[in-house]
Amino acid sequence: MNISNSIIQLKNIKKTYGKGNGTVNALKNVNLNIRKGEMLAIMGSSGSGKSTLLNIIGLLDDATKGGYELFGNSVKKMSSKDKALYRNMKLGFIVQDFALIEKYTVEQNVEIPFTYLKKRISKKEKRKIVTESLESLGIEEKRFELAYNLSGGQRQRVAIARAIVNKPEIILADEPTGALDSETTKEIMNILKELNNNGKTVIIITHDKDVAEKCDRIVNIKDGIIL
Amino acid sequence: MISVFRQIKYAFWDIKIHKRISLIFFFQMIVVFLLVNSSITDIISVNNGLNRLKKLQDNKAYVNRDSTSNGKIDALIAEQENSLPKLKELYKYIIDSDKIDKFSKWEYSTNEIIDGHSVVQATTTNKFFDMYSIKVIKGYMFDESDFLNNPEIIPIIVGYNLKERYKLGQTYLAKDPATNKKITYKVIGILEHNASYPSIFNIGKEVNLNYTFFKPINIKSLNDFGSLDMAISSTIIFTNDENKVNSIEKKSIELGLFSMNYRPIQEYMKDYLDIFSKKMIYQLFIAVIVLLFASISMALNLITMISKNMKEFSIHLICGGRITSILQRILWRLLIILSIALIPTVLIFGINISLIYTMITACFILLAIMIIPYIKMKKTNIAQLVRRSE
Repeated sequence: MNISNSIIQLKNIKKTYGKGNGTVNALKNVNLNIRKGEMLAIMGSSGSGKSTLLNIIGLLDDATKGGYELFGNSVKKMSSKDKALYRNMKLGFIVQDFALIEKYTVEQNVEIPFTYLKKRISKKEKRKIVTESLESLGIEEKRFELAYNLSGGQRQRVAIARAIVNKPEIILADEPTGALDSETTKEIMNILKELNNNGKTVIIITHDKDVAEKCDRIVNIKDGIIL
Repeated sequence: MISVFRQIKYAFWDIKIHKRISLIFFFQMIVVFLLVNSSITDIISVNNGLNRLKKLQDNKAYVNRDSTSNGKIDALIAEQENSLPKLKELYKYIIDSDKIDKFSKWEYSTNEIIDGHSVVQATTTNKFFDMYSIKVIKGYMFDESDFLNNPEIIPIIVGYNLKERYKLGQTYLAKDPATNKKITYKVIGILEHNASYPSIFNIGKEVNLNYTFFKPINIKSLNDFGSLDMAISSTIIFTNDENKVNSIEKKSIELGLFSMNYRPIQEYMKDYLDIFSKKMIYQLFIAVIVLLFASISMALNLITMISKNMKEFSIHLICGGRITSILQRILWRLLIILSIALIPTVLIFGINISLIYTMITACFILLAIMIIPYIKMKKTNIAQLVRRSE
């Protein structure tokens, strides 16, 4: 693979948990390059290390050993502030349980990434961006509903709206359809495909073969090793 | 900066959501701040009082603490024909002793009320004004003749807030509260605004003189038991020679009058400080207990809140937040509650130096409470937090 287009480069990544006899090797010498605009599925069974890999890619966790370059910048050299900025501006997260704050309205949930924006944006602009995101996902009319009152599919759409509201380049989805029925799964996958068609790099963690087959590339992981 | 405002917004939301716990902590903090502020105010005022009395201490002041029995006083009152000349003799003995410096000062409340304050008539000598550096802003102080002669018109110096009622240079007919006799007073001076003197037996209390008028002590006019009793018992003696005060005590016994007991002022100050220290220890002990209880319950509450809000925090973390921004949000929450809890203290005690110390105490409380959430959050790995919330 031509690595010059890679926006994510993982070199000999190791991740261990615990100490002494209790040490668990979650990832063993993982090498992975992901190109800009790629839609990639990481498949593996429970405990295979796929979520650990996504956490490292998403700057939520640090590798024990190895090198990771994100947009050509070494993650090792990044401060926690830099990593937070990357999470805010360049990465959008979607997780299985939707990760919505139930007592917040849809709008308040979608607005969370604005809290950590470096630049100041006006209320009017904020409202416009949120409207665009909600409209693109067909949930504009739910704007002032509490997240608590939404269906699973609607919740996941809100989570996607939040993930894209800051216009990140990479979407990281950890089992995004794990809690959804097959019809809603299709709808969500179509949304993710559309985001990819619009230039976003999409990385999906899944153990669902049908979901993985919608992606450009499938990476299988087992016992911390990419097969 | 933008992020700070947003964290404040989230802190307000947290308070709204955790209303009950926030209210309990709020009321506990009100009690703590009131106790702390009251203790600090007392300490500062007692310290100021001690400084104000230092001049008396430096001048070797002796203060009389009368230990005459009530039976004896009743007997003296009953036999005024016999006791009055003796009282006069004793007072003459005290004031005629040239080698000792002294002043007497006593007061009666009159029936007159001005601005809701009872007007007080005080009787004293110039030494009283000198000792407490009390000055007139208009007119003049008493001169020597005012203390020796018994004129038809008695000169008076009035407190600042009496200057409109008793105008400088004017004469007034009024009833003497000690004797009920009509007396003509002439205003010769007006005291400076908020002129005051420190209480000896209630250290830290400043007696304000805005509604007091002074007349000079004149032995010739002291003909009633009450005035002579007050003149004798209120006399403060300044001497390096303890024998002088002993001789006054002896003279009183010889005349069959009071059981006088002159003690150096520093002994009163020490006695007062002993009682005051005990009071302060008790007061601060209660404050510390309430504070400990409040801090522990709030810290535990914060830990529970962090555990319950793990999902919410993890959402903020994946959206670009940091552990420090979550700590900031908790800090703001506490800061908002503590700041509002300070309001009753400000309303009751006002804005003064004690408030600064109370605010410093509030900062310490804040830091102490934040230690546990800080350690808990700092030890938490973001990935763990995200995983735990799922």
